Amino acid sequence: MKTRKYVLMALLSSMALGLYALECVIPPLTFIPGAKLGLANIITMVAIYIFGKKEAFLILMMRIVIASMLFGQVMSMLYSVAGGLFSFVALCICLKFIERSSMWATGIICAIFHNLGQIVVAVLVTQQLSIAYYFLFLVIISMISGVFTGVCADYCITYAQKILKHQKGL
Amino acid sequence: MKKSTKVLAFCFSAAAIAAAAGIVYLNAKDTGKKIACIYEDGNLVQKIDLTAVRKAYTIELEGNIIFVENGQISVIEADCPDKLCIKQGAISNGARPIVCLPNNVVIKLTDDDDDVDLTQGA
Repeated sequence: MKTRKYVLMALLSSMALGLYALECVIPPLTFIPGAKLGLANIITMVAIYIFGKKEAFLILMMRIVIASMLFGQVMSMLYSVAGGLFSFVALCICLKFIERSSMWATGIICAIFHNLGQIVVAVLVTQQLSIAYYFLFLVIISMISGVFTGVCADYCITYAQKILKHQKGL
Repeated sequence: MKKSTKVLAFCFSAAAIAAAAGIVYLNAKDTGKKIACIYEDGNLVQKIDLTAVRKAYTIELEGNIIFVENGQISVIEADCPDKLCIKQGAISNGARPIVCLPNNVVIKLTDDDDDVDLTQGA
């Protein structure tokens, strides 16, 4: 049943890409660099619950590489990779300590760590520590976007698990 | 509400309040800084004493046009798609830098006044 799993993983990757593309189309709502909804993280959270860490990581990396090739420059890939890695590590830690019923908290922590990763890269690229000031704004924005993505992921996981219950070999 | 939910909610509220307090604190602390430093690709390209600017003028960088006034500085033109540096508006204290990540330009205000390019301000 490996093929079925690969197909599902590919499907999730393309969903993540779609959400990422949707996010690129939305004009920035605030003046803060890096502030966004983080919709693609919903898919990473869903994947880690229905498949596991390894598969979720593959889906995440696939999304980042393809998205950077399609819409971005080399620079934006650097930011995406750093943000993606930080939030993935945070997600793995959350998986241990935060239960399913508190998915919103997982969403917030992932969002904060995603922003932390991006700020670290931004500080390294510009060599200006002072831009870490924007991290304070990003923490507050993460509270809102994190709850949103967390709750979305919670609903998605519930339904995905219902559907996948009858599928063998996943 | 479950106990874990309460604990988590408390932690996140505390973090948000701490971040907000940090913003307020930094804005209050750095009001006196009026020396604008413009960095491109991590290198200092220009240093202007904003208190000495009498007539407003513009500086053209590769991808951005910077507007220098008495006491404040802003970006008015950018060739990047998101134009976040323009939306960041004018800065007049040292707390918030203007940052344009696509062009790797950072403008910040400091109080370090050695070798300021005073000829630019006249």
